[in-house]
Parts: sequence; structure tokens; C-alpha cells
Amino acid sequence: MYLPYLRGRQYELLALRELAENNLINNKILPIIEPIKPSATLLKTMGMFINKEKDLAVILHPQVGNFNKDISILKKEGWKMNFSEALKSKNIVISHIMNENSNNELNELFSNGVEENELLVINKNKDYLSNYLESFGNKNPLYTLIPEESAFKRKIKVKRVLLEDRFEKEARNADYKDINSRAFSEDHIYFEEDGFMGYSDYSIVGEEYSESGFAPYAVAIHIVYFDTDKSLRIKHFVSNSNKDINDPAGKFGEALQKLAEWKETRNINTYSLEKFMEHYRNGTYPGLGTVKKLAIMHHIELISQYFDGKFDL
Amino acid sequence: MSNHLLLNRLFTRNIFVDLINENNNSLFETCVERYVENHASMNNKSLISEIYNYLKKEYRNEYYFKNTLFNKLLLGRHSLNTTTALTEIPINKSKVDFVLINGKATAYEIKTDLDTFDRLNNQIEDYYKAFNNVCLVTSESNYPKAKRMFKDTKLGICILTSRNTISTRQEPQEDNSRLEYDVMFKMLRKHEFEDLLFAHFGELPVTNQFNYYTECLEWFTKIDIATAYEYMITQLKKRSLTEKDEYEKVPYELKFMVYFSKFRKSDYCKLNNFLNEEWRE
Repeated sequence: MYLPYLRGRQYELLALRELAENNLINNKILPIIEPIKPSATLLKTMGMFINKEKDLAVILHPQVGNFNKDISILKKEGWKMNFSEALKSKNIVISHIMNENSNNELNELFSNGVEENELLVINKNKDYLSNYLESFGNKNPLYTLIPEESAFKRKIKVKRVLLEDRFEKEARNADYKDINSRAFSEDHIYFEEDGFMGYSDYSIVGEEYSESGFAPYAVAIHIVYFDTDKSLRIKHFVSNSNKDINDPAGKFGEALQKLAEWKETRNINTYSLEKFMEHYRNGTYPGLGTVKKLAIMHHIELISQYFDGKFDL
Repeated sequence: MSNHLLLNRLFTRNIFVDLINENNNSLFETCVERYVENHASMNNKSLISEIYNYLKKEYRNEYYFKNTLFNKLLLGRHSLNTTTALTEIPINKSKVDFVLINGKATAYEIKTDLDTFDRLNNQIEDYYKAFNNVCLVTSESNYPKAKRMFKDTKLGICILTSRNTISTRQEPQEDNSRLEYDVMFKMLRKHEFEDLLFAHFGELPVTNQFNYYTECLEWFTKIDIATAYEYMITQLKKRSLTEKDEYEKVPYELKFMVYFSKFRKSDYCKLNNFLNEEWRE
């Protein structure tokens, strides 16, 4: 089972929504959203998963962004009503990150009738482990996400899910140019053997969260693919003319050209790669958000294909 | 000295957006407590004025230079209706401090006593790729060095004197020989270069999105460079201030910051309310 962990940025939500909409993910995929603001897109994404009867995990007290503050001052009563309505759906898995306020936050959830064994819980900080053990006792959450470290593995033995950031982030997009390709992950092969029910990562975005973006000098497309031994590698297609922030469309064209040439040589097909190729053929530039969106979709769809047995010999 | 670094951050858009929306900001509070004696019953407008006075007397930083230059040149010699100012525009590998456009355009590089001249030569080189008039604004104590470096060049040299007047020691002379098409073009926004190309050629390049920018630049280079420069200036000049009436009421000390902060009518209103409010302990 794969639980891609995404923040609720516009392009991340759209990636999940389109995957669900186009039936590109099977029931081995459970995406997790850590929302960063109460947006219409968040509601629509949840709505799409509910419609398609696919599971989606939504973190209720996110630890990045301004979701908690924004929602407390939000004047749109309609939004709040629709959000809490959506949370009641059987397809929405209510999720919690252990933090210093966990006691209050969890008690609030429990008093609202959420059962321990319906929750997805994320443990990233050792300091809150004892808190976690106290809060849950012998009632195990639906899934507990933990890092690879033994400090966590010793304490949490059942229904655990491996959470690791597999994306090695460079300081600047242009830096990916020298890398070409590198190993990404083998978690999909070994998670069961290592005693996990599933595995989770931050896809091709990475764990680090920053509030504001800025116009990059280079355009980079990050594409995940299977090596012959079924391990995952990641390839970076980067533009050539990276001297300033101008002409992102031209730079996208340069990066896309490389992606198109590479795809010719490999047997790899996803909905999003096909979208990339459409842009290539038509000479169209959809914007940097869409580039990220398609690369995320490609990764998740590929893993779904893997669990479908598409890569078995 | 390092204590004064707070003052460099105070006169910025982020701090003031915070102040006018939340009515408090810890950086502002620290500055008031540190730089204004007897601040108890003063309103925010007077407090800002007091802090600015401190800059004037003790710590003439970049904001002080920029704001003085701005008030004296744009609001003193010229007017908001005929002149446009730009700031922090990337030119090649540099970012220009201040550009003033009326009939002609002049790029200003500011070197306070707190700055070094390390990058100055490169910066000046870069500005001449985009503007035909360039001027250095510095302090009296830096003047001998500036004179030594630039006395036989076309660079203008102005001094912000100890009496806080601007004294022109060397008039800038027009130099069109170093203008570069691609540097000029890259300062323009999409609608600006489209506007310019359409006016000149009567049409725009027809190509796919990947090649469009390069093609537009290609067309731009077909225009005689003096004409292309005039076109560029005309486009940049259109980036002028909206809400001129509201802007008139902004106090002297904040003119530069507010000019470049893209304030809307409601923001001016909030600013006014904030300025009139009294300091609360």
C-alpha cells in the first residue's frame, strides 16, 4: 500500500483530484493531504474522492501553513458546513500529526465521536511518542506513520506505515542538471518484509515546506521510473538557458524536448506522461504549477500500476 | 551598529502591511522603545517621524538615501503626473536601486557610508546595458574615491550632503553606446513588449508558446536601437502610480516605501487610521 503525503497546495490538490477523476489509482493508494488553507479546491478534491468512493486521508490539525488560523476566522459558513459534512464520509480518513497540542486535539476528535481505530496518525517526533502511547493505549489507530528509525519501530509494532522523504532536494532547479538520474526508493519492494502495512513519502515534492515560491531560473521536470530490478529511480529533465527568470515557456520546451526523447527509448506509459507529450506536440506551456501537478500524478499513477501487477514478469 | 539593523527592516512594505492590518508589530514596538524618548502620548505618525529623524542624524541607511532622493527628485523637481519611478529592477546580474523616468530615464546606484564599492563597477556596467543615463549617489566621505574612479566617465555623481541636500558634482552624460537589446527587452513584461512590437510592426510573431519569447526578442532586435530604447522607456513610464490623490497625503518619511507598495484605496485608509492612532503601552 502506498500513501503519498502531499500538502494542500493548489497543484497538489489538482493532481489528486485528476487521478481520482480519471480512475488512475486503485485501492492500494491512499493519498494524505495536509491542508494549508481552507480553499474551494480542497472541498472539490474531497468531493471527487467521495464520489468515486476512493479513500483520502485529511489531516485535521496541520503543522504547516495557516489552515488552523484561517479556519478559525473564516466567515464562509457554507465552506465550514461542507467541510465537516465531507469529513463524515466513510471515504475520508481523519488524520492527526502528533504535536504539543495533541492531547486537546485528540480529545476533541474523540468527543466528536471519532474512534481510535478510524484514525490515521503521524509520528515524526520522538518527543511525542510517550504521548501517543498514552492517548491510544492498546487501541491501535487505522494506520500509524513512522520514520525508519528503531526508536519508533520498537514502540509502534502494529499497523505501522513507513514514512520517509525520498526526494533529494537541490537548492536550485539548475542543480538537477548535473544529476541526470539517481536512485529514488525501494520502499514499494521491501515495506512488507520490513514489517510495515504500507509506505509513505512526499512524492517528488519533498518534506520541506516553504510558504512562498519564487520564479526559478531553470525549469525542471522530475520523472520517477522503474529500473530493471524494480527499484525506483528519478530522472531530472532540466532546461538549458537558465541565466535569468525570463521565458519559462521556452525553458519548459527545452526540458520537455529531453523528456520526449527519453520516453521514446523506454516502455513507460501514464496518463500524465501522455499529457506532457500533448504539450510537446502542440508547443503549449501550461504553467509551472501544472508541470509539478503532472509529475506528481505520474509518480502516483506509476505506483498504482505497480500494485496492479503491471510490472510482473 | 548591529543594533541599528532593525531600522533597515522597519521601512519596508511587509512591516507596514502588518502594522496597518494588525495595528501592531514587534519590530516597530522595539524601534519606538529604543529610538523615541517620552513616546507615551504620541501618535504613530509622530513616532515614525522621530525614528526617521534618528536615521537622518545617526544612521543614514539605504532607505534614508532612497527616500531623500525620491522626495527631492520626483516630488521636488518633477511631478507624479509626468514622472515614473522604479525600484529593484533586475538588470543583467544586478538590481538597480532607483530609476527615474520623465523625458529621459536615469538609473541611480546608491552607496551609503554603510556600503562598500566592491560591486560598483559591475553594477554601473550592467545599468548602461539598459539605460543611457546612470548616476551614483553617495556621501561626502565617499566622494574622493568616487571621483577617482569615475572622473573621466559619463557617470553622474551626486552627493547627499551632511545638510541633507543633493549636490551634483558631475552631471551624467548620455551614453547610448553600451545599450544591449536583450537586457533592455528582459526588463519588459509580456504585455509591454507585445504592445511595443505591435505598435512598430503592426503584428505579433505567430509561433508556438515555446518559441514565442525568443521570437519576440528577435523582432525587437530588428528595431533601430535608439528607437527601441525610446519604446522601452515609454512602456516603463506607464508603470506609474494609481491612487495619486490618496498618495499625496502620505507623510514625507514614508513616501518611498508607499510608492512601491501597490497600496489600494482601502490600504491608504488603513494607513491613515494607523498613523493617527496613539501609542499604547
